[in-house]
Amino acid sequence: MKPTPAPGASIAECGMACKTIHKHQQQSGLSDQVFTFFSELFNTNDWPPRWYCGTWSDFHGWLYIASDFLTWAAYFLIPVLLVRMIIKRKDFPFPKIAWLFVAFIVLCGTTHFIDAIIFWWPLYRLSALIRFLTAVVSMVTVYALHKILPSVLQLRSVKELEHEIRERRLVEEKLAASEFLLSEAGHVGRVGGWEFDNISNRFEWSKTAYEILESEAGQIDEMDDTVSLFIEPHREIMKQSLTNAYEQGIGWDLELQMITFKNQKKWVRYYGKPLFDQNGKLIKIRGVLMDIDKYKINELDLSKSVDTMARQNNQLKNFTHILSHNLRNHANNISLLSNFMDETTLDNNNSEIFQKIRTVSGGLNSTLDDLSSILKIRDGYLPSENLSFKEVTKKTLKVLEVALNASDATVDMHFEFDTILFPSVYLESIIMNLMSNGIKYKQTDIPLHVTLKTYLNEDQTKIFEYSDNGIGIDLDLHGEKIFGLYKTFHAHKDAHGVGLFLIKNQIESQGGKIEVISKPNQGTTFKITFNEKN
Amino acid sequence: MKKIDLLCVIDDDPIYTFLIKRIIDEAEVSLKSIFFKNGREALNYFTEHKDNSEKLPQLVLVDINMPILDGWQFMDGFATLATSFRNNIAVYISSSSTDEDDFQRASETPHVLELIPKPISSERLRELVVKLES
Repeated sequence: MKPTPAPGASIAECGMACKTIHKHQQQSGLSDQVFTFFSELFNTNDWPPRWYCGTWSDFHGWLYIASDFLTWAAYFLIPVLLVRMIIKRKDFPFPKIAWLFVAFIVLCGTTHFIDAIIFWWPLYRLSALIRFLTAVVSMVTVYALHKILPSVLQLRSVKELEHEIRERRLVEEKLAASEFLLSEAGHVGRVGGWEFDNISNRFEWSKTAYEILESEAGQIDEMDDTVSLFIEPHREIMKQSLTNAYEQGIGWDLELQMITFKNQKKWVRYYGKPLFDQNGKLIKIRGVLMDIDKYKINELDLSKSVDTMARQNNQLKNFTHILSHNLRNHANNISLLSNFMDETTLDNNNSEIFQKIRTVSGGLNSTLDDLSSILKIRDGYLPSENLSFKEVTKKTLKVLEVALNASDATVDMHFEFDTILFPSVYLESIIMNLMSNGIKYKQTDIPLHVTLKTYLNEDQTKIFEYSDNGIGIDLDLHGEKIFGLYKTFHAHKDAHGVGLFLIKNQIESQGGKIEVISKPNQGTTFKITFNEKN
Repeated sequence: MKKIDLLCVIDDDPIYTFLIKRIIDEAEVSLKSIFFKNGREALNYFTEHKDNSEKLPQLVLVDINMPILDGWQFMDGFATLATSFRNNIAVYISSSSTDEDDFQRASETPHVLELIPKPISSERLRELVVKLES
């Protein structure tokens, strides 16, 4: 309510009606003015309350006052909330600016408060001082805000942060998955990792590494401790490797035998790589420890038995050579001696015996010939040539012409492919042996019919197939024995038991194989699968 | 066919020596033959007569497997003497070996013309002598 001035009280008046000459028109020195300003800060006598300054309607005045009070109230509450925020949230960005805001808002509020109370108490000096402070704080805030603006612009938005969190979570999930895989793989594959920090002198071993060492954390402290894990001569090798790592920066990757902490001998693959900083100072050595015991022992066993076998094989080879050589000497001598024998001087009895000796001598020589040709396949190396099935077959059939005619034989040829990379002597021998077997074991009452085929099987491997309508072989009875040496299955006068053994060896020496399909009286089929090298 | 003056056989096998004598007679290739039981004996003879071409053979058949000095060792010694010989001496290795390595080695050994598998026939012997003349 507009106060009613007490009767007789002298109050300054202003407004349109004020005709009084006011003091501010009086000019005095600046220092006097400043002194008066501060000493009379709370003196209200120089002005009338605002109600009397000009003409205020009640509505206008109270609207002014109420608005100022409300603004003041709000301007005091906002800082309270701000302060609470700053104190509670330690990570509040730019807290110093926030404190400036608090000061700035409080001061703004205060100017409104004073503006309102000036309606009763004209504290114009105080008002000016508060406004000055507000101006200073505001300008400082403007400056500070300007300073931090670039950093504020760089602050990521919540959305961006959320996005980043999502991304990171995905990466973390992947990391966890691959870590799982790695540790599982390490566990199953018996591969452990280790790291030695040369500065802090600390060892880190992965779980699997501890399993391999059969130790627990803390049992290996020094790099030198690892050396003593190994047994001689591996300890010396490891010592040297470590020296190389320290002095020349060379890593190592060795298969060594160690004694675990539970006193077990174990083969490990031990890998290490030194790491240097920019100044060439060794900072770390990292590596892998792999349990290869099972494989190494197998490998050693295997190589030992391979060595033994190679040695035995060699002895056997020498033995057969010496044997066949010495036997041949004697056999040759017998056959030559019998050639120089004058049979006419022998009586009937001796002549008969002598004939038998000749037969035996012939048999001995042919056995030795067979043996030596087999030995040649076993250790000889024959170069492969590009051969034509048609030509080799033609050549062979020519040699067998007489015998084939005598058996009334017909030979069909279906060569889907013609060339093969194979030693020519062997291919001739294969076709020759199969054909002459066919002639030997034909059925007596029907003419011999042979089909020779070449084709590619489903693996695009070259196949040569021989089939006849001969007497066949009882495979249930003889099975794979038919390829054995001196195995004959027919009471035939020419049955040798060398041919099939020979060609099987010839085929296998070139990496191929031979199979047989046969039934008594239903003919025989031989299938040769080639293994063309290169 | 012209006969050669001297044929030399180096072999430790008495039966083969007995036989080869018959074969040489049958082939009628040489006026005279000499026989040594091993490489050492033969090499001694060749060393002793290296400057006397009348005492040296025109054709030599040497076995591989022999005691004391074998065929290969004989050939080593022969090679060092060869520069002293005034006449050409044809040397054949004659062995019952069927070992490919021996054939290979024979073809690589200096002064060896060929490895001829035992037993050598009288026909083959004649061929060798005919070859000498050409």
